[in-house]
Amino acid sequence: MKMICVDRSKCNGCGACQTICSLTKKGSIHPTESRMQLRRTGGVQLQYTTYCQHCADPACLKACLKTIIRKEGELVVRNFEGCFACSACAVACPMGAVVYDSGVDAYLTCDQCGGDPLCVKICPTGALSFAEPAQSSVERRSSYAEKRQDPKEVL
Amino acid sequence: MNNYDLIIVGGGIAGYHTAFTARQNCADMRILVISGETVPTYSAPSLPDYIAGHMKREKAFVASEADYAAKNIDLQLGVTVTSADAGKKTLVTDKGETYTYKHLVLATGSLPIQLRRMQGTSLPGNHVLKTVQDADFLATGDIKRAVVVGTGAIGLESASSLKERGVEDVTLVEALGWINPKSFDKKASDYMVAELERIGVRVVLGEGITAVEGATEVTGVHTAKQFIPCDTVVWGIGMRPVTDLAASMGVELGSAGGVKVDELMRTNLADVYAVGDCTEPYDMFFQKYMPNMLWRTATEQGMLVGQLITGAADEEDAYEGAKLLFLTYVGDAVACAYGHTEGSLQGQKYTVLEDCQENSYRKVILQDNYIMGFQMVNTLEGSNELYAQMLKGVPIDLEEMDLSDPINTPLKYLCLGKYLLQMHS
Amino acid sequence: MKNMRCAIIDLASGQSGIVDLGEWELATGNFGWGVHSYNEKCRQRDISFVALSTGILTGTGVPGSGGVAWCNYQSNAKMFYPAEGRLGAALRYAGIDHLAITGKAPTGQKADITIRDGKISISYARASRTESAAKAYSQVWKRRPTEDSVIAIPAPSGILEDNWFFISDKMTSSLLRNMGLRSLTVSYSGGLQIADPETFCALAAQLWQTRRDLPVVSDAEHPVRYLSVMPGCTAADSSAWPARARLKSGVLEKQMLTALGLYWGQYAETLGGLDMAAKLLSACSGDTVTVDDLRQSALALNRALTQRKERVYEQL
Repeated sequence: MKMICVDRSKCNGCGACQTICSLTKKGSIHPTESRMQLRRTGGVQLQYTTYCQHCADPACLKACLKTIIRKEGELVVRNFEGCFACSACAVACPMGAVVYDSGVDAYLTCDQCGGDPLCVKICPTGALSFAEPAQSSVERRSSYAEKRQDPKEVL
Repeated sequence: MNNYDLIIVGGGIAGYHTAFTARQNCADMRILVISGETVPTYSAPSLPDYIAGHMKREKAFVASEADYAAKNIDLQLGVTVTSADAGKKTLVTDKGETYTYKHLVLATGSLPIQLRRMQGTSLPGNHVLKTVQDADFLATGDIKRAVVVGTGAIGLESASSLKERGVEDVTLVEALGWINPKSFDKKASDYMVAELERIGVRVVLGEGITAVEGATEVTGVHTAKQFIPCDTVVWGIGMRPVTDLAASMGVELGSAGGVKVDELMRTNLADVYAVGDCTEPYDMFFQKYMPNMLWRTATEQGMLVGQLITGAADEEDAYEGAKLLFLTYVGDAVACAYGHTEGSLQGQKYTVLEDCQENSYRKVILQDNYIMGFQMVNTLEGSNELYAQMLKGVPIDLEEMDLSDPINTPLKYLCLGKYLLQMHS
Repeated sequence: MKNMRCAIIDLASGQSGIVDLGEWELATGNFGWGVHSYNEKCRQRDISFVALSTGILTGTGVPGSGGVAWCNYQSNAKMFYPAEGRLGAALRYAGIDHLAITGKAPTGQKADITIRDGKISISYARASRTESAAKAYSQVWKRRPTEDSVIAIPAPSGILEDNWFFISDKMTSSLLRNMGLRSLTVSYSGGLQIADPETFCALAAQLWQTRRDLPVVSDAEHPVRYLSVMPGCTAADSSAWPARARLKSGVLEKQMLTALGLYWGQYAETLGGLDMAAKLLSACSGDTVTVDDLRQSALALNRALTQRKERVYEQL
């Protein structure tokens, strides 16, 4: 299954992903309610993005107090109309990928924009890509090997 | 035909997941759910939302009778199992029917602890919050002045939702020194009290109820220090596991009175499992068997048993353990806690990191290199990272941390960035 | 999104407030958005201050929209700084479009301002002669209210955002240091309303995708101007900030686009320039803004500035 992949060496924390995600999903620019979250806990050298990984055995599914989360094929989907914003999924998600949306008063996650994620298309540095995870890992390993560099240097 | 492959006693969420997961993995086994309730499975945690007026009653339901029928799961509502014979693998209901099973799953749940010997506790006007019918009264009943007893999730949410519903006079009474000392230390309680008072709930701490006043109905409650007039008392003083059937058929109970289960939810009797509130599962963090009456635990256990019985899971898929996460809303403020409190670590050495803001509070307790507990009020920032780290049981490197940086440092080092640093430094 | 909200902070008294300045207007004769409208009102009351002003597109993340305008009335100078940082955006998400800082902190004291979703708090501490910007930053960072708070510290060479890059010129920074400002922290949980989100999204996506092909290098180590469409700035340039990059578009346009909080440079013309700006503004505001409107407004602005003999600097 294709996943949104991030190359942290390229991410400069511009937040364009948060802007376009909230714009396309909420109709307003609202970075704190974007489903692709740029986390800045560690400061400017350690920023990273979190978003739904569509886990095979999702913790959110088990934690949901309304049983509205399910697997549909490979994707983790939720019937958000039934959500009563208890936050159980947000706390349970080890990725921190669940985001509260004040517009619908529900907790939501990245749905990959139906297969063509917008954040990937617009990422100004090309840090985001949409690929089979194995493929992007292979590419990264090849790139390290090719440059024969200490991974620390690449980052 | 009264012969079933799988009979589940109890139609709550644990029983529901057992049945539906079994069906998901096996199309033709005969499954029966016998529920003492007259309505199908609903989300008890969402009932306060209904009481407050934020959610319609029908939205509380997780499944309808039609949903059960669509999955070919026989459902009997309003039926109690009066006895069971583990040797013969039969059970008898209060409707006089006898059934046979190959696998039996006890999902009998829990009931609110109710004081019987205290004066006035049997009068009309004494209530609990457990079933949807309990919620019906709290949502629509004519309540002018309510006293809510206890500050666990039920007490906190009852008080909040009654106030939100429009009950003018709501008092929350806690016998111990502060709110929910099992999950929180005093400072977190202060923040919760502030939020409760902000929404108009009067909070009384350190006073237990000594008697309920009234002749034909409740007129008020007494504590050691005062009399509080009211027409409704909501008792949220704890839950006890329902184990009558289990005990009667020879199922072994644990030290806290719940059904003893191993990591595969098996009881001491062959082909008899137990799931949900009635059990005493192994706790992942505290590493001991203890009651865990939480939705997620019931969900996980029900799903596991549904898989085990159908062969979709085996001994290697043992239950990772229950997680006693406290998560509730106090007014508009979320309150979340996991692990130890300073109270439960009394006498031991530990480090406390706190982030005290005007309206929100976060606290992390560290011991050696381990996160021993966290508490949050009105914010959940970093909670998922802390929780995940605690579940993994992996130590964090205290030397790397600058302990003069309350709260943000452990979170910084818990984020994925930390692993990057470690990998590449 | 029509009303401009200005936060006014007096470092002498520690008092602050938020003032509604009325509608964003593009019509000629009203000097456009941003710094000029507010300046006019303050000018009438003869207050000296340092103001940070955002434009209507600030916070939308559109390339080039990160710029903020610094205006300091002590010297009658207006400085547009194409900061491409987050401070302007953060202020707007926090519900503030302008920030005016006036007064001087009590002798021997330095002020730390925290703005969180429209609430302003100021705390004072003993001023330290030897404290570096980096040290001040690390202290303030520990106390930041939320993970993604933006922290700006007036440092000797300019105002440093997130201890990472400059978002102002030297003069503005010195002024704020002399006024006793140690740090400004902005936290937010809000956002910006967009009148026509679909159109805006399509336009923004087009810009970002084009931006990917530009030669401006930007990565985790060199984040300066990471959304900018300005030419010539490479990773190496960032350390020589702000001297190297040069803009070649006309002064009038620059003044107008300065007023919009939207800096447009040479490369912008190839992307659509004023035409793109007009479309973005229309989709953002819900009003119909034409290229001609922008030109007219720029002319009016230029006239007014010339009449008042104001100097407008562009710092690159």
